[in-house]
Amino acid sequence: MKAQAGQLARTLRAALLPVTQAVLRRPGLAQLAAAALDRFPALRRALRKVLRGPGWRPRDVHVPQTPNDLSPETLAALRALQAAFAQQRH
Amino acid sequence: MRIVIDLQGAQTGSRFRGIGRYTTALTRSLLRIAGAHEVWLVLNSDLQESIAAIRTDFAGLVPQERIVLFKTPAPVSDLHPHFEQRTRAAELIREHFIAALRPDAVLVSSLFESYFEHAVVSAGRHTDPARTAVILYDLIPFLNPAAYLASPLARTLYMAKIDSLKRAGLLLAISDYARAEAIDALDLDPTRVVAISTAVDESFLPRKMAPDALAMLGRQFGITRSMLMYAPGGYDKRKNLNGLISAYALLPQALRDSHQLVVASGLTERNRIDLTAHARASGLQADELILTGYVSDADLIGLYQSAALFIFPSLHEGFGLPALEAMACGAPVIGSNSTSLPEVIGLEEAMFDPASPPAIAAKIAEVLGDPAMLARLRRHGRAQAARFSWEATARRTLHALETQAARAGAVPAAPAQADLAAALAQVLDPGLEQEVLLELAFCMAAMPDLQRRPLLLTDNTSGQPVLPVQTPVVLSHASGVWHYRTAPGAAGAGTVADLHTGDILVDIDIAGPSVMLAAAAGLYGYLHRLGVVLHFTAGDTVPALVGLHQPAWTALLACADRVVCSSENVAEVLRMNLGETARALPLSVQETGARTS
Repeated sequence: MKAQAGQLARTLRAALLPVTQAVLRRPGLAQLAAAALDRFPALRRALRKVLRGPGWRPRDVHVPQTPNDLSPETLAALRALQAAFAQQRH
Repeated sequence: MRIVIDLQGAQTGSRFRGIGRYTTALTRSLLRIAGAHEVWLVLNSDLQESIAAIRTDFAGLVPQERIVLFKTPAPVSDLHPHFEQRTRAAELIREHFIAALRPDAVLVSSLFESYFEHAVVSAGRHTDPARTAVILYDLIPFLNPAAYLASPLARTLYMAKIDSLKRAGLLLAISDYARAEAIDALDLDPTRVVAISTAVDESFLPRKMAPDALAMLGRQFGITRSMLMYAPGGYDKRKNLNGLISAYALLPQALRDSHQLVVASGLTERNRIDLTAHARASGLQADELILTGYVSDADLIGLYQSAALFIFPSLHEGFGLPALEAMACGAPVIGSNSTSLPEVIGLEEAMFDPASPPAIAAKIAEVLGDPAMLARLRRHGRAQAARFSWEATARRTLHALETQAARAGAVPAAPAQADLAAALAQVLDPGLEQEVLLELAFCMAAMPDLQRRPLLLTDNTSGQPVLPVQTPVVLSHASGVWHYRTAPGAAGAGTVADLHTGDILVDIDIAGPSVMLAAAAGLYGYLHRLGVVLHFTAGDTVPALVGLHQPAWTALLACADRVVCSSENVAEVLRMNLGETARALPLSVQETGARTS
């Protein structure tokens, strides 16, 4: 029974992910969806859990969610990471 | 010497088992004898449930600011391929975090913890492992791959851990046998493997149980006759439970009539069915075998103290702690002559061949039929148990760490952030999602900095004047995350402030609307676990609001290091309404106003 439920969840996830991505690629829709989900955090968490699979859990309250509003230390770390990735690509 | 101890062995599910006990007991003893050595405890911030308990456990033994937390890009897990990249990144971050503390020696309490979700343990993936010492409990899966590593995933994961084990500069084996076995099986340099032994908790004492307590224990588990006891420390084929049941079936009828076989261990329903079926097939009556299931420490001690004979027939152990516990409690103990058990039991006449049920039965009958031998076993057991102590184990550990540190030479400089970034870029997919990148940056920003001085910050969300020694910060939820940022008017106004272990944040108004929202989102719980000292204030509005906010304040003040009340009345209201939480808190009254300044 548990195995069947797991299989069903995996199938649903596999089906939902491309559909959601395709819908969100339409102009403005991603922002609209994000704004709507911002108002309903429980729905956002549930949706992300379905899309991201087992083991996913909501991010901690203190982890920054936008690169435009970081502490100086986190910003420096982000730049170091971006530089390292750029270096790796070359 | 600076010793850094990775305490994840006391954080995962292991904290309910032997490894957790070993980790905690050894660390506590090390801290007691550390003298001039500086000990730091490193915890995994994503194993949240255990952090507050560990801070409480070690309060007074180590300054709170030396209990530091590394952050990983959770979720990480060795068991799920989906998280493989995050797990590799987390390993690099953890090693970098420890290296940033510039340790002379690193002690890893358990290398095999990452089978549990969110635990991260490795050696030598990013930094030099020469200073890393790993506690080695046993190599049972390595030596018995057919039984333990049948699945390819289990084998891959375990062998990766073995690679880390081989890279570590020093292995600390829990017995002479485990040391010899590791040297032989992994072809290790014997100078890199030191036996540090183990010990039993101080609560395992020989004490005669009161008749009513004994009767209650008997009723609890259905014990009506003298006990032949086995506490295997968990169910496993190598524990040889079937062998013991078969041996019991071979005992003379008179002994079976006067003794029950009691197995004290947590068991699954499947284990229980299998054991009961084997007992029936061996001809045991239903009341001859008692499977207690999980027993508390208090009950276990009671069972040891009242056992007629304790039998430890295990086929393979790294140490065999239950045998030592039983001896410490005054039980006569006989056991297997294989692996580490001769070293633990330490008496030739108390040994038998565990592979032979007739040999086990013969030894049981011999002991039960000879009161002088029973008395001899009790005397020997107490003397043998006294030879093992946590202090002795801690001294051996400290000596081994000192030798290893001397061999490793001068401590290198703290590693550069760019090195970690480059290492992460090598193990991660370049098309990483931005949120993962942000999380990684946050993990990197949380690295310890030995030069950094703790900050005194004041929560100035309400905009009151502050003293010049304090950095005013205000709560903000502007970018979807609750955090503090530098208050308007102060230098660097509006900048997000990352708080670190040892920072002190004062004047947090428990009735402030933003404070309550941030608390509900878990901000203060996070800061408390991190080791930020939190001073709350409770003003004159508290009595009027306490009915409404009682549950929220109870949770919030569980994170408080101090609460400053504006009057004795406010303090009394908190004491009356918040019960245990408030009673455990340092409440103080500042009549001129509740502010800490």
